[in-house]
Amino acid sequence: MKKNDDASPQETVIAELLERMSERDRAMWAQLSERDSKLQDRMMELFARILENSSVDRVMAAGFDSVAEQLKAQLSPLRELTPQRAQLKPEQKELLGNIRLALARPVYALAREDIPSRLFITDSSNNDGRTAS
Amino acid sequence: MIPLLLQRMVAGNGSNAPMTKEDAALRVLRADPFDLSLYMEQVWDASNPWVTIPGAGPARRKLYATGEFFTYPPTALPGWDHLGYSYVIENTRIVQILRRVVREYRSGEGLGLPSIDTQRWLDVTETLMFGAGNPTTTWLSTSTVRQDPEAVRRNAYWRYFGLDLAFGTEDNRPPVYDKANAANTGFVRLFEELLYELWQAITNVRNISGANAADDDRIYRIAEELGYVLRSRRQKSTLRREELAAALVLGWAHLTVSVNSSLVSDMSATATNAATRLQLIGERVGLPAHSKSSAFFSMADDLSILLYTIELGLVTGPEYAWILYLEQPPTGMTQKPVGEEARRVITEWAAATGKDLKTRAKPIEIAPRPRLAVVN
Repeated sequence: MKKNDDASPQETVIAELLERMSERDRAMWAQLSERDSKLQDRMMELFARILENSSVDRVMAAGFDSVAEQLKAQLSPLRELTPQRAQLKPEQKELLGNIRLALARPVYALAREDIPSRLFITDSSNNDGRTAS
Repeated sequence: MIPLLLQRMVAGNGSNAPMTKEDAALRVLRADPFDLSLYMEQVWDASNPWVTIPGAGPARRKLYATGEFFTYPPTALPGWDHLGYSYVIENTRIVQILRRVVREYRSGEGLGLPSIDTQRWLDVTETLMFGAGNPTTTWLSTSTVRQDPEAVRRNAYWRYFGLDLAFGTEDNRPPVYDKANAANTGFVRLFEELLYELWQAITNVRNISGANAADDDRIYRIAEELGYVLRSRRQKSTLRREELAAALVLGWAHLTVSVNSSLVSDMSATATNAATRLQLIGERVGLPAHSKSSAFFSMADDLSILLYTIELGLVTGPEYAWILYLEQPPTGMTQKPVGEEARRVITEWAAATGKDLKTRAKPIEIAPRPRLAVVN
């Protein structure tokens, strides 16, 4: 603030006080803005993780507000080759379930008598083959 | 077909209590060969191969309803393993080795006296695998026109996969069989390309920062092409009977060496895995098993699932390519994809063929082409 040479001492003190208050406010707003910016960055990072955005999406969201759409259109051919994974349709679910069910089989890779350090739980007629450590 | 029957016995159903896998194996190994061939007829009928005409007539239906395993009908289709399963199991040379075992036991006592269980095993093996007399023959796919079951299977392998077995006849002569003109000779190239792309995708499943080499669109296109290729040999249920008969025979052979069965014990070939058992039996009868038998046995089951998934056309777009390489279902899904099976096939196929499927077979050409000279 420009000081007035004709001002009384009282007015000068008031002007200095106002200037100090103004500086304090500016510093406070700068701190608040910085904190807000960091918080926003963190939130964007969190959303990006949740939504599994690509790296291109993150750059778009983080820094190019005004030209984002234009840049996105220009960069779209360079996006990841991997498309989104779609949920199976009901008939696909049924088919995959059928394949799994139909082609299930017991595994004979390890015979019961070859399992080391295992205790077999069997009933009186020796029907149950569950194992216990 | 045999492993799937075993699973039904282990799981049990409304008519049968569950049983242990060892008991199920013992019951099947002691079964009458007629019961097993009747069960095959039942599975064939259940698959309804021709849709407009039943797979079995009333007489055959009444007959198979008297079989021991009639109360274990297939609850889901496909009712038997893919021909790829039979191909890799047969590539171990197991059929030729078991033929020598049967001949040795039936013609003398050079291998010692077979136990009672082994005598039953010999009956079943001669019936199912080598055409011994039976009220219903397993090999409806053989006749006086095509008498040798192995030649019929070789013909089917050639038509389906454009592949022959890795060996000739028992005495190492070139095999003789009808080699059809219409064969899927491009199968191996396509399949190995798919396995390469699947490996790229598997390695990138958890990649969220670097360059992602997974190409779902290419996986979809190759899988689609493979599906076309395989289905082209299966039009109007062609080759299905041969596939079923092969699945029964090779399933029986696989079960024989999957456990320390009576034959394995009688041949002093007890071991902890199928490949070693077969190797020991082969040594006893003077016919070595394939050196990569372990890889063939390890991938057989998984190859069956993977090939059916491709052939049934489950991957209908790049957005569904994940079915072939994810090991766990994505969020919100319950059906398990076949990534685990694909990974096993990649590993064992590479071991069996000696090809490194984890690198591109033919690198992209970067050498500059020679310029054309200007001639005045």
